[in-house]
Amino acid sequence: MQNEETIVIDPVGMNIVNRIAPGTRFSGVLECSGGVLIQGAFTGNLTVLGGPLVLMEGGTIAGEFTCDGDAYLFGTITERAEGEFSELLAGGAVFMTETLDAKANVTAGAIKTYAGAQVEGRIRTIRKEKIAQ
Amino acid sequence: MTVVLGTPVGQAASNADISQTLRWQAGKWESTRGVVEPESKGPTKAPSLITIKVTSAIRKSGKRVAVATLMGALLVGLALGLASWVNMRKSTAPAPAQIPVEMSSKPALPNAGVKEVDEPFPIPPQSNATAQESTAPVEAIIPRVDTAQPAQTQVQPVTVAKVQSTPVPPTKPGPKDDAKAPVGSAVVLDADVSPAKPPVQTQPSKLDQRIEQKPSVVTAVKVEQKLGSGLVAVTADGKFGLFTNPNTRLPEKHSVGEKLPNGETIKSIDKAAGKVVTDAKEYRLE
Repeated sequence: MQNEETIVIDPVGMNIVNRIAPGTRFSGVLECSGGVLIQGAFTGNLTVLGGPLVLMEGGTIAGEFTCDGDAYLFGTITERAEGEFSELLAGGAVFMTETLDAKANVTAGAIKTYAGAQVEGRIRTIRKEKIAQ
Repeated sequence: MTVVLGTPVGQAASNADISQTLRWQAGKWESTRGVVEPESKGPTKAPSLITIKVTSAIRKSGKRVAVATLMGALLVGLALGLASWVNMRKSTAPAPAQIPVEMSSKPALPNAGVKEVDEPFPIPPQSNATAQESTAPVEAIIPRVDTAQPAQTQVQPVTVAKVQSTPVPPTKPGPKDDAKAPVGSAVVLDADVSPAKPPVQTQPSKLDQRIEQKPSVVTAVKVEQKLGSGLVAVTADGKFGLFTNPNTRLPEKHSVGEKLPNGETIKSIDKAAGKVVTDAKEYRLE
């Protein structure tokens, strides 16, 4: 593969202290202090402070997601309702990787796309201080 | 865990991705002339430095010097080559003709600087007479092979060796001694042959063979007994006895009622007496 990038997901180094394991389903409101690693299914409102949002391949989320750091998207983001895209707001960079399949509006400080990513929705970039406001 | 992000899109991972013709840097597109910079076509100012041109005369003299040095080097090389060639011819021509003639005509002289390693005694200065006489006894060393009497052939070289082993002083040469003991001749003695004792026993006697065979049989039996299916140990609780398997030579545990490697069945184990009784015999601790 030409110039293929990789990343090491280090939970300790990246302060990922929250996890939704494979096969786990959560529905509701979740506020995470520290990063979160999603391998199962999440539906609802998710707020991540002090760490990244990592959606692993095989993980599925739907709803509204707010993260003050980076977001690594390897999984699937589905509509939160029929005809209504999910919303993702990230203060850092959003990594739209080759395995991502998203139906969401993405707002982030920076967008990093990789060949193979499928994103349907609006993509915006905005400065971090405005997100904090 | 390492996860693959994929191939980045729209990001300058390396300079190779950037177009070579559309690179914007320092306020202008690279590889093109800037619009702001005017081309100066006017006369250039006279330089303040003084330049000296190399004249043709200097160039020619330089060439001459180079040619002269080359010629000199060639001549020197040729002279060295000729000298080495002459030396080679002188050194190679006479040598091979002289060496073999000298070796065959004259015997070894003390002043020749050649040492014979096989010689035990120093060569006396009057060795010319002895050397001539030594030719006869040298022939006697060679055993004469008689097919009719093979035993005698074995004895002949032995007797000659006897005489030669005695140290004959070179200052007292006798006519008889010189005939028997050729001083100055090299004799190769086998390490196994002892000159003092002639080899009498060519064939071992039958009695010796029997003696050699008997102890070997005895030792074999003893070894078998040691390594056989004997009782090696009895466990502390008295339930098992350790026997050596003759096939594997490893100790094996057996309890009452079990069969030993030799087929016998254990009937009882007496830990206090250190014995195991089977249906065939009784084993005691080795």
